[in-house]
Amino acid sequence: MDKLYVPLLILMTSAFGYLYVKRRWGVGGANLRQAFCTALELIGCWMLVYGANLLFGLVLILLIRRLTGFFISLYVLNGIMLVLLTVLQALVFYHLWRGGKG
Amino acid sequence: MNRTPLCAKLLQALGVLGIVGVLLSAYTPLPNALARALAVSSRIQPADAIVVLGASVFRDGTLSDSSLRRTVQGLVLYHQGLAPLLVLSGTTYEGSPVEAEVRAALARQLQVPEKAILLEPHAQTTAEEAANIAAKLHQRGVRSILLVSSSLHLARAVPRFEKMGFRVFPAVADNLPVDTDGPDGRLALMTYTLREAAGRWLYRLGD
Repeated sequence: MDKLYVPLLILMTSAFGYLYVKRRWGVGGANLRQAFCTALELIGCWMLVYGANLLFGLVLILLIRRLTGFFISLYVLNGIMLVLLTVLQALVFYHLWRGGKG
Repeated sequence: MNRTPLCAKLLQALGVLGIVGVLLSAYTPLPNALARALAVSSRIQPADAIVVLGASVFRDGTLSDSSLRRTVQGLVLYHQGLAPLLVLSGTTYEGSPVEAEVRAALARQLQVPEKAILLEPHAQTTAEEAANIAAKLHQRGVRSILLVSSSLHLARAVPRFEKMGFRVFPAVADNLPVDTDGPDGRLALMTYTLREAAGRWLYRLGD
């Protein structure tokens, strides 16, 4: 039960949230579908940017080590800061992409 | 709004892939199976020396969880009489004390005599640890070692030390067991496994 508590909590608050906005603003199934698609696009965008950051970060560290002899640990790419800053980056790029095509 | 449908579909597919990946990692034994496939098991036997690989130490001199576990494992092996020499590795990290010296202080407090302790305070990577420690141990005629680290890190550390001419017996000190349970533990294990798999790949690339 402990393991399923968090997913169940998210399902419950999502259901309550949906019912609330449905009553408050009259949104329907089509809006929900669009919201899901946008969420998936945002996650996809984050994965793309995160992958690019990892790859570029790795190559840059190896180059710095080889060309300057200065040591940067590969573990710096393992931290939570890269994840969080990539979220911000992905949000900006996503909205740029949406705006650029609009 | 007129987004390119193909780009949108690709991003959506990536998003689905990400969510499925996280759910599989958190709620199935997939990370455990992957970690087991990569991990090395302990083969504890008497050897000429015990080598405890570095992890990290905080600025105030507190050993990280991994570092402490590895050090304790090394101390246990030493007190079991499995080798007469304890090699403690670990450098300084952004102004922290030298990890090897912090470990040595702990070893002395736990009744390991000074002459049984050898430090490697300079190496910054596993490859450097193998090279530097080999240079020191070959002078002392050491042929076999008990190598202490995490089971996933040992997968790339053992071949490095074997390449230096040692007979290597792995001694696992895990702070994240390969049979860890629960979504958070499994996600952490998946991240660690993927990181070590990438490390192995990079090491092979560098050879």
